[in-house]
Order: sequence, then C-alpha cells, then structure tokens
Amino acid sequence: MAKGVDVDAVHQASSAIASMADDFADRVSLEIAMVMKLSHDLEDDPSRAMKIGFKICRIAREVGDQGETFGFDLISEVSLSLTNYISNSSEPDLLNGDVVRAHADAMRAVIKNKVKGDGGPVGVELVQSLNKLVARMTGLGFPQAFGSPVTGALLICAHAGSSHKACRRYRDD
Amino acid sequence: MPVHLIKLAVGIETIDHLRERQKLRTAERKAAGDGPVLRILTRNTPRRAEELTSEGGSLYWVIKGRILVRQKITGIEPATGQDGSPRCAIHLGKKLVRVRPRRSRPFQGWRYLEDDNAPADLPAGAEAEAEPPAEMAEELRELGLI
Repeated sequence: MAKGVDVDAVHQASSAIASMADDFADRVSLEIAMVMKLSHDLEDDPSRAMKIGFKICRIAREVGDQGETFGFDLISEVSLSLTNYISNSSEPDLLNGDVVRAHADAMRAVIKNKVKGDGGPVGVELVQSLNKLVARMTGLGFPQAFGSPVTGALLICAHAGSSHKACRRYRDD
Repeated sequence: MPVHLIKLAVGIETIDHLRERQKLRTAERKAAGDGPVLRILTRNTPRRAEELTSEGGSLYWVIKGRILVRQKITGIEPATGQDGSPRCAIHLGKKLVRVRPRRSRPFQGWRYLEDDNAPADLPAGAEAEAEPPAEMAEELRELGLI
C-alpha cells in the first residue's frame, strides 16, 4: 500500500519552523551586534578591510536568507542593501563604516520591533533611503547598484563559484 | 496562463482612497451620460490586449510603493482623451482584490506582469500585515534613515 503524507511529520516540521521564527529576532540581534563591531574594525584597521568586508557580506547574506525564510522581509531587504554595498564597492579600502552602521542601525530598529512583512510604507521608505545611500557611495546609479532581489548581490555572494568580481575578491582574501 | 498589467496609483494613499476615487470617477461618467463603466485611460495600447482580456488578466495597483490590490480587466478599447488625443481605455471590474503586499519600484505608465510574478491574493477575510509600530518610524527618523 502506498504511503501518504506523514501528517505528524509535517506538523512537527511546522512547529519547528515556527519555533525558529520566534528565535530569529534573538539570534539576529547577535549578528547585528557583530556587524556593528565590524564597522568599527573597518575604521580601526583599514588594512583588513577586505577580510572585514567579506565577514559583513557573509553575515548580511545569512540574515537576509533567514529573514526571508521566516517572513521578515524588511530585514532581508536591508541585508540585501548592505550586501550590495559591500559587493559593489570598487575598492575594499573605501568601505565606509558609517554606511555599514546605517544598515546595522536599520536592522536593529526593525528587529527590535519584530517587524514581519515588508514594513508597510515606512519599510518602503527605509529601503529606498538605504538604496539611494548605497548608490551614492558606490558611484553606481539606480538601478545598476540594485538588481532585482532575485538577481542582486545577495544571491551572487551566496554562490562560491560566482564570477562576480567583487564577491570573489572578498571571498579569496 | 493569464498576463496582467501593473500600474502606479498616483496620488493614492490607501486602498480605501483608491476605492473612493474610483467611485467618484464612475459617478462622474454616469452623470455625463457615459455609462457606469470603471475605466482608466492610458497613452499606450497593450499589444497583448487579447491575452489580457480573454485569459482573466488583472490590473495590479502600486500604492505608495507597494503592490496592494488588483482589479480584473474586463475590456480594452480605443478612446479619446480630454484634449482630443487618442488614448486606450482599460475597463476594470469593480471588485478590489487585496494581494500579498510587495514592494515595487516607480515606473511610468503600465508594465506587463506575468502570472508567475504576480503576488498571490490574500485569503478572503485575511488581515493585512500589521503596520510597524510608530516607535520604529520614530527611531528611524532620529537615525536619519527615513
């Protein structure tokens, strides 16, 4: 007899995901604190900018991925903006701690309020503001600095074999 | 699989605002003897008009930077603007169907929206996602981020 869907297993998986979603805000707060620390490291020791940029990129990617999984779309968008900034900066030495902190501050405000979804008009305004900031700082105009969420640097960075020069440069450090 | 259109609702703040504006426009057309058809006028005529109307296409409205609601496209026909220039009239069903909100960048006119990329309808009776608390907006303002 053919087996059907294991309903219990589905329920267990759903419960596990719901539980992880509840923990997401706590976990991501630690990641944000790390991004904040790294932004200061950037200023304290510019010679390590490449390595620090890679770390920030990796954290932002992980936060973005998890945010998307658990329905925190806004924090994913902010993470994507940060990843875009890192990966589109022409030179690691030029990475600006203030820009990184602006993203970390935004993430902290969003997660403190446990905002799910896109954050409504305020969320839209926040993401537009960050996108403009990154476009200005990277010298790339809109929309060059920002592909769609599907084609943006978030996913490019996620693939170890990516040919994206900036991401590869950070990874190879 | 239907194809849809997406368009910015310029000057519209909320779905209720869109509803009221459309009621007003419809009433104005009715009073002018043009019939109670809800329509919008556009400069460019969709080449895929047949697909839009025969396969159940909708117009997805972008309100304040987010796709929030759709209306069924019931017809497309040539029309004349107030200045006498040729226009395309897109007729819409009255029902406003809320969809899962999605951010959309600004653009001019209308765009096609393939069914695969269209946001899903919100289930009947579903509450829209709660707006973020005012404290967050205040904090972001203090940080100079909005």
